[in-house]
Order: sequence, then C-alpha cells, then structure tokens
Amino acid sequence: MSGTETAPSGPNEARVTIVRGPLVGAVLGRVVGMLAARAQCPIDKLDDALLITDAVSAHAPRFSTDDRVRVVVRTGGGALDIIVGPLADGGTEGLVADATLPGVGNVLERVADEVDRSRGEDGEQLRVRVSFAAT
Amino acid sequence: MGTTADDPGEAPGRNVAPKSVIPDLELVLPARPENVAVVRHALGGFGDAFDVPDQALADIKLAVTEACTNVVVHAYPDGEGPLGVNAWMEDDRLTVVVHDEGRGMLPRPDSPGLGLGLPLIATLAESLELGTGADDRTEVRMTFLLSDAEAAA
Repeated sequence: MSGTETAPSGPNEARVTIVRGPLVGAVLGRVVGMLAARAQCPIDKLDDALLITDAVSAHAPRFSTDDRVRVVVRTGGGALDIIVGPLADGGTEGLVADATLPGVGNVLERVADEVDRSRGEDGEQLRVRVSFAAT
Repeated sequence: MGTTADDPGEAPGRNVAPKSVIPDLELVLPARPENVAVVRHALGGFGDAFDVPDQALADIKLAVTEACTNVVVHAYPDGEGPLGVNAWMEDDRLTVVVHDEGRGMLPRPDSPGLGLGLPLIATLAESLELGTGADDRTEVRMTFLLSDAEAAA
C-alpha cells in the first residue's frame, strides 16, 4: 500500500478511552463520524450512529467503572458497532434506560439495529449496532 | 486534565516518560493512511473541548499528522499494527504522545519521505522527545505551550 492511498481497507476499529466530562462527546462523535464515513455508511445511518453516540456520550460516564469512558468503535461487514464498557453493575440497563426521550422513546432501541448486553471480567458491556449493508 | 498516577514500574533507563500520566484521551487504531484523518478529527474535538486557540490547534494537528504518518509509513514494513495517540492537558501545556509497536526508529536509506517530518514537528512543538516508552513501544512525545498561542491570538 502506498502512503497516499485513501480507499477503505476492510474492517476498522478504534479503541477510545476518554476522561469523563465534555471531552467524551467532543471526541467520540468525531471518531464515530470518521469511521462511519470511511466505511461508506449512508447519510441517514450516519445520522443514526451520531444520535447513538450522543446518547452514549451523555449517559455512559455515569455508569463507567472509573473516571474514564471506554468505547470501541468497529466497522466492517456493512455495520458499525459501538461497544461501551466496562460498565458498573446495572450499567448497561441504566445506560439504555437513560437514553429515553419524552415523546420520542428510547433512542438506542429505536435507532439501533441491535442492542446487546453482556458481562465480562471487568464489568458489563453494551454493544449497539447500526447496519447499513446493501440488501 | 491528565491524572498523575503512582508508577511503581517506572524504569530508570527509559528514554521517554519521565513520569506516568493517565491521559485525558487514549486512541488506538490500525496504522493505516485513512486513520491519520481519524486522529486529526479526534484532536480537533479535544481542542474544542479545551478551547485551544485555532492557530495552536492547527499547528498541533499538523505536527501530530506528521508523527502518525511516520508510523503508517515506517513502523510496520511487513504488515499492520497499532497506531496509538495519547493526549492530556497539564497547566497550559498540551502533550501528545504518538506510539507504535513497530521496529523502532532506524535509519532507512530507502525511505519514501523527504525527511522533513521530524524537523517540522520540532519547529511546531515546544518540546519533542523520541524514544522508547512503556512496554518498549516507540514514542514521539510532543508538548505544545498554549499560553503563547493565546497571547498571540
């Protein structure tokens, strides 16, 4: 590969750790936007991904296990995954519940194609998927 | 603000990392050309959140782009590996560390570049350190003094 080649090159993944506070939304939105764009995510789905990112940025800090928010942003196979965690006990349910807007409903569950909760050694983990593969 | 942590494992022979700081931002991506732009945008968000003056932020992004490009071009000649960027604010200084797990900084007679990257970084940053950091990773550590930029704005 040449140093100037810019075509997308398969699955991509960014691991982001951000101190709680205004930095979370400011950085995470840009990372998600860039990876989604590089994965040729259509504009309506990019908008969905950024809505999810805003919800995660606003509420995940309250449930993180320390003063950092850890997010993995993964693209590939016609989908974008936003994986948040480790979260404290009850964090996945709390994060999903907090993403409810009056008159709109739950942003994560309405916008995402998949919302998975899992538990690892370090704590709970929430995976939110936006799919955009051509059908 | 970056958090200073206890660092019982600090190695006296280490070239970089005089003390251990938990960065405000840690970003790790595959070392690919397209991901240099991701780093630039992430730093843009960092600058916005900390109200870094526009001119200073432009210089910071340029310097960090050069460091990241060096990783993409030189660090993994036989494949792909991680490109890491840590950033933190401390008083009126922004420190950015670009790191990789590649082959280290070696002379490369066949280098495709012009050799201007590191001198450019040295010009833009208040300080520049090259060496080996934690876990034997190759690091480029840049510190930018923001108070000068604020006074000039």
